[in-house]
Amino acid sequence: MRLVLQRLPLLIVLLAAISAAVFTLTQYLPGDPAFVAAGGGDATPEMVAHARARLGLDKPLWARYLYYMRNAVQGDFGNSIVNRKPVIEDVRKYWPASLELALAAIAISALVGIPLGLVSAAWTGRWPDRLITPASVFLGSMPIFWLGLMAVFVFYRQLDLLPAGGRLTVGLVPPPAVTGLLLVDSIIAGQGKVFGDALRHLILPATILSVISLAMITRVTRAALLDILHEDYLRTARAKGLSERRVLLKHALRNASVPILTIVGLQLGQLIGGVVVTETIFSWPGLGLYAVTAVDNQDYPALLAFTLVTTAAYVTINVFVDLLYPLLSPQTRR
Amino acid sequence: MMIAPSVFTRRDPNAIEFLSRLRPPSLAHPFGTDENGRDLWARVVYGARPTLAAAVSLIVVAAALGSVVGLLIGAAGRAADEWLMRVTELFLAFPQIVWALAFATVVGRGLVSCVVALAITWWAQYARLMRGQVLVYREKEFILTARALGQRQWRILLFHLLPNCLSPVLVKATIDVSLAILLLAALSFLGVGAQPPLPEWGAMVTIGRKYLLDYPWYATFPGLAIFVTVLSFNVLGERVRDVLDPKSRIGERP
Repeated sequence: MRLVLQRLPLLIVLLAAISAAVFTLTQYLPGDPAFVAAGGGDATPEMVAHARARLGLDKPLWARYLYYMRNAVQGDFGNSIVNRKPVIEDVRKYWPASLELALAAIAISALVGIPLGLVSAAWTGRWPDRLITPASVFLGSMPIFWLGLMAVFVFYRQLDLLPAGGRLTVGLVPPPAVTGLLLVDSIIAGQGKVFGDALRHLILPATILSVISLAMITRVTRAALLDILHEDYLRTARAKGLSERRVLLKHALRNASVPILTIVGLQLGQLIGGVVVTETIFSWPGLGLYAVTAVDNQDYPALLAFTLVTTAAYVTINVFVDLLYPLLSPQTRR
Repeated sequence: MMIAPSVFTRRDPNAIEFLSRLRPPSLAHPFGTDENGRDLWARVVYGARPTLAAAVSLIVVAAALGSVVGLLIGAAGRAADEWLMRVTELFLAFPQIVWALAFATVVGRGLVSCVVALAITWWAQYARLMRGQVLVYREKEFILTARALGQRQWRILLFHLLPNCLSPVLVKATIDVSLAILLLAALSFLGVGAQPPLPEWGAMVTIGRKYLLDYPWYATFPGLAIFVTVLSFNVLGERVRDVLDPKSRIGERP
């Protein structure tokens, strides 16, 4: 609990800083919103002044910022410039898709990365390690947007195995939204066909996105295991006659779990940037694609809301990871 | 390739030949041609310059700024140290792509905005690294000797502390160039980085995406160029580390 209290100020200060930075920037854009609101070309100076007062633009910058933040805290991010709808409605509509993608990706990279790290730590310097370690550098050097495009070309155009984008085939009715995650919702609704279709759509984007964190998780698992492999308690376990396999899986992995789980958690935060890119490649209707569309349309209220929401998510994940430490490792308990 | 692109190709990367649009790779055009009939090999060659220059300048600025701040933090008193570390924590917590996306959209798209946006957050990593180094070396004998000999504070900082603290910064900077290339290319891909007709690799992949299904070589080669360059910087970074600091291993970000 003390940790929560310690970390909370950082979250608040960070959100205030990033929102203030972006908000201030948007206020110095060319073009006068009061002039536009007053009707543009035909507006008299009085009309413009009236519109300015109505929009609150005659107030100083800090007052406008406080006003914006007061509304934002209550979930009102203003209306989109493009579709005139409240931004919060769109955010609510799109974020589950991003969550589903990010969770699937982190699951893949943990399920593949941890065993790979384990294998390369167990055979340090021998062929599995010599193969896996350079491969992780190799994979980590690929731009994922390019890898994604190549995957679309191979699996969609050449092999015709997987769809090129979207969450569901057009015409298929999505299950009633409970969690917003299509895989979960289709199970709840008992719609096997929708589940299969959603899964086929998810495979490529989630796999591509998982590449970002796969290499890091493999490396950290390997390093964490190597750090402890020569500790006394493991030597004792071996001396007791336990098989090497049992020593690794039961004793070593558990003791290395703190750095491993930490990196998995931190990578979930790192994935946010990757989500934007992946959603763009696969036309995945999530927050990332929404943000890129907002960028193209210069839709500032939407962009500002996206920045705030993702920053909050990012920091919350990191704080949450910090909180996991004492639970996992009694030594760090204060 | 970055310094003298004209050595590698005699073609003009911006020469438009409408008659040979979207040709597959051939002897005349080893990487094929784009939608305006421009030679893709020439564009990839010329693309090395903006791509690398942006990434390198980003890391140089971030590393220089961060090192100076880190050196000062490390040398300053306890209260200032505590306070400045909180500030760097703040910058470290910025989600980089999201921030750069917002910044470049508002300030104006282009490689320069992206470099500025990323530098604003990146220096903090170096500040923390440098501070850690200073704290290690501050109490070492050779520094204490220099102090005992009556050398001035700034001389000690500049000539005794700094050279000893630099090697991890160099290692990190080399590896960070590869990260910077990936990030900047991703931002270009999202449309806020390099703007056409500048031959930049990320932006070329973006345009190539439109023609992906029928003209796959267009997006393939610029992406391959990014991959090879990033890989080289990663390998180089590991070599630099082996030379400067044989003891260290691959680990997490500081």
